[in-house]
Amino acid sequence: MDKIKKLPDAEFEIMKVVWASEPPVTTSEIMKQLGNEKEWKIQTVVSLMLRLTDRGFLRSEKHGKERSYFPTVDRENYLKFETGNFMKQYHDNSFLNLVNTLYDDEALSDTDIDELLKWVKERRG
Amino acid sequence: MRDFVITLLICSVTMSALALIYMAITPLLTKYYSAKGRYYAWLVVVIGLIIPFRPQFHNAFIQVDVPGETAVPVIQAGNRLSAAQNVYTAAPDIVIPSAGPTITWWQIAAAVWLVGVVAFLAYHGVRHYRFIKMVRRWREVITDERTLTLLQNLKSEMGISKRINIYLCPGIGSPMMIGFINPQILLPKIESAQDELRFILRHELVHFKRKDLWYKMLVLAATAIHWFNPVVYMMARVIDRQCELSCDAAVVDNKDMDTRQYYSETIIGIVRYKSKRKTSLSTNFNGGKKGMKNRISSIMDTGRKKTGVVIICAVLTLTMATGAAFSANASEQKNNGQIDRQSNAQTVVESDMSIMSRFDPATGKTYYSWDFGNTWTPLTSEEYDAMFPSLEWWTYDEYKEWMEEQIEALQSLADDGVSDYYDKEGVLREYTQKDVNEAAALYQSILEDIKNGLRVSKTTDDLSGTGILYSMNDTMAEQENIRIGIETIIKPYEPFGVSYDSETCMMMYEGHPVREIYDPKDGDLITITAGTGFIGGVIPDGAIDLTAVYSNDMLSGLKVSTQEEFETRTRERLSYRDIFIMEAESTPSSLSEPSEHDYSKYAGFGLIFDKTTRSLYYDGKLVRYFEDYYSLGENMSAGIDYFNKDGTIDVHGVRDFSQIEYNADGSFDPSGKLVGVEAYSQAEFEARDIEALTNPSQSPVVTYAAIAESDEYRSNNQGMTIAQHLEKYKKYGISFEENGTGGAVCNIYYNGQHVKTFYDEKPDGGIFMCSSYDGGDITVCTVYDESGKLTGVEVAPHLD
Repeated sequence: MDKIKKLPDAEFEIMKVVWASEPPVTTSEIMKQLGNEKEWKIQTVVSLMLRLTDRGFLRSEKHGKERSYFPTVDRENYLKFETGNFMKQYHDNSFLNLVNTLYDDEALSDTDIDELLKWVKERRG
Repeated sequence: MRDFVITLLICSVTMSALALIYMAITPLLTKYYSAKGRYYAWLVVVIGLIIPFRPQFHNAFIQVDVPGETAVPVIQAGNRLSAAQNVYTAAPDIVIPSAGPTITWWQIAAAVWLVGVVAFLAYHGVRHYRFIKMVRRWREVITDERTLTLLQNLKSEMGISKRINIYLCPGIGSPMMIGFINPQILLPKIESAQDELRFILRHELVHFKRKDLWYKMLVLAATAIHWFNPVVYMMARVIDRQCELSCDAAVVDNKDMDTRQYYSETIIGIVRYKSKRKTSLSTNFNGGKKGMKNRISSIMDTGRKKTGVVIICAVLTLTMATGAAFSANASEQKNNGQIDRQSNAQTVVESDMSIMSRFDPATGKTYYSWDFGNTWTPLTSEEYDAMFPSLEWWTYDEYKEWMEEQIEALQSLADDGVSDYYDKEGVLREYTQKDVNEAAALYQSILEDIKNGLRVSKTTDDLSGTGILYSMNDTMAEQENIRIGIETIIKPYEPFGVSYDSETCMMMYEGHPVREIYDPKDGDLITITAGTGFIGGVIPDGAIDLTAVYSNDMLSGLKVSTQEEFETRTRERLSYRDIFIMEAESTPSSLSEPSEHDYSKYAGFGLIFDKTTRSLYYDGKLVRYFEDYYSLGENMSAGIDYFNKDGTIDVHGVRDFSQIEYNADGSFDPSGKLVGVEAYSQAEFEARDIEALTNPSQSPVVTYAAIAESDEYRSNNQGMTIAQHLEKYKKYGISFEENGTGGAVCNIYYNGQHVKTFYDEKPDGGIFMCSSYDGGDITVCTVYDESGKLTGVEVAPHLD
């Protein structure tokens, strides 16, 4: 898992379909859901799947004529990896970001949050 | 550049002070003023940071009065006889050359600042781009009808018609709005009740409506410009919080306590979600609690508040007031700049009436020349006024008083020990006693000059208040001063063979008349021109230009221009010179009081001066008219004359110019050799116009320089004399006298009045102008009708 690298856009698109489907998936299923839309050729999809297998994102099994693929990295983990590093530095001085965030300050501990909720009710009273 | 760095620093410091004060009093303001007012007051500060330049008030709160005229860097000498401009720099060391290879602190500072700004913007640009990219990868279109309908309802409720996309975005911890052009709301993957969602969307739409992203953009710009200032970062954070507070206030405006509580709980819910996600990323989660409490109190606060326009106004006033601090600083700057300018002075001086002007319709500029048309400079009327303010002359007493004040001021500068200036190497130096002494010595020598009869002008313009101008009249009494003036100027070159011939008013070098000396001293090209022989573009035989040669910063010799260089320069000048006729020298002052000395040299040829009757006798007869003139070049002559109406004979001197003797230094006497005195014939005696000789004062002989403009005009009238030009105005009442050969003109009259300047501005923009050097009473200009036809001339006092 330490070796995960950020996926290029095309491979990420494949993984999004894989994650959204019930494993295992086949090349032709991917082709059906994605290849036509992106106007990819079957060879492209096949080679992207092989690259993902090399990267350790997919595992493949051969059943007769057809090869089926299983995700070996789950979506949440990858999301955490990809956005984690980024969010970490992104939030260091978020007040300079060109976004309007509802809450932008430091994280609070559960106790603090509970305390705040209690405090809201008290103020009410 | 230096000014910019200083202005930026001052802006940063003063605005930081203002920001800190505002931050400090914000808790007090919270009670009485709305969050919105407090938020927008910051906008004033942000803009004040982005635009460091303020309108400058003359009545600054703090006026820093820096002694302005601390230096007398430029002394400019001009005189009419030589018709030349002589500029030399006799500055004390306080002169600051503006150009120099030395890198100064502000250049380094400016470079560092710029690198910082670029780096800051690049960092934030890349970060934002990466964020957008991540959002694009992970966002999912929301298909849930209820959410979409809710957004639509809120939009129409708030009067927003712009299309706003809404996405679900894993990876973000809090709802947010991004996009300047295509705004989109991003929601984290969090289960929210419909009411919670309503608050969240409403909050984001308030941001959109108030254009908070643009505000943030300005804050980012201010931070980029002041990246070196930690207070500005602090301010950005405070503004960010203020933005949320005022947004919350807008969301719960006019809402009851239940709603406010629910809204608070919604936000706390978001904080919880975000904190959970963040715990894995960050260990620091203590600072937010206080901020959150503030936020909740603000939401729960139903007290009525003033809008806070007062705060905005107060901040605005203070921001402008920081401009007053600049004002004080700027006056200091101005003084520094002034010295800069003066060191570069190619500024030249009016030598009596020899400034010439021309208007070029092609460029729309007015060009001026003060060296008899050798060079032309375009000037605006402001520049002209600054350069040639109406002259006032120092009296001895006035100058003495001014000088004493100046020295006192300089002395106090030196005594303070805090006054610094940049010397010739661009090194910051302390202003020392030595500098004071040098300046004082210079003042003293100028005072001495005034005492000796030199006229020194005080310029009236404040900006050029330190320029000093020597102007000398060409009366006999001041001839000596002219000589001294010019000899002072050429002194540095004397060891290398340059001399001044006061007889011909020319600089000489190895027997050649010198037209100009170019001296690239201290990086400034000083051009010294002296010599009557060059007036009107007449170049005596063998004339040369010289260029000063320096080795190790010491003047080491003079380089004689090649014939080609000389001719190239001549051509360059002629190519843009528009004077086609110039009569430079007025007729010699006639009939000066005779004295024995003047005539002694003629005694050997039979012309005797009788001291008792103060009369001249020749061949035993009383002389009526005597003249002995010799030519100094085209249209110029020198010599003496005499008149006695009771005389019975006219005589003149005879000179031999065939055997001119050269002196050891190569100079020669243009007067040739006096070889005799001859009487005029009886016919010549009778033909002489006695009237002109008896009443010279009633008819002052005034000569004119004429200038004609526009290429078309010139080409059509190439080679025409002033007289020929003036011919066509005769029918409108212009009359004039021709003066010798070459079509030169003297004494132009209009309806019997003596014309000083005749001015013909043609409808096509061309200008023909005749301007006298030394006399005349009125200015006359032409009148054209609507079709552009010349219809007459009129007196034009407004053109004076």
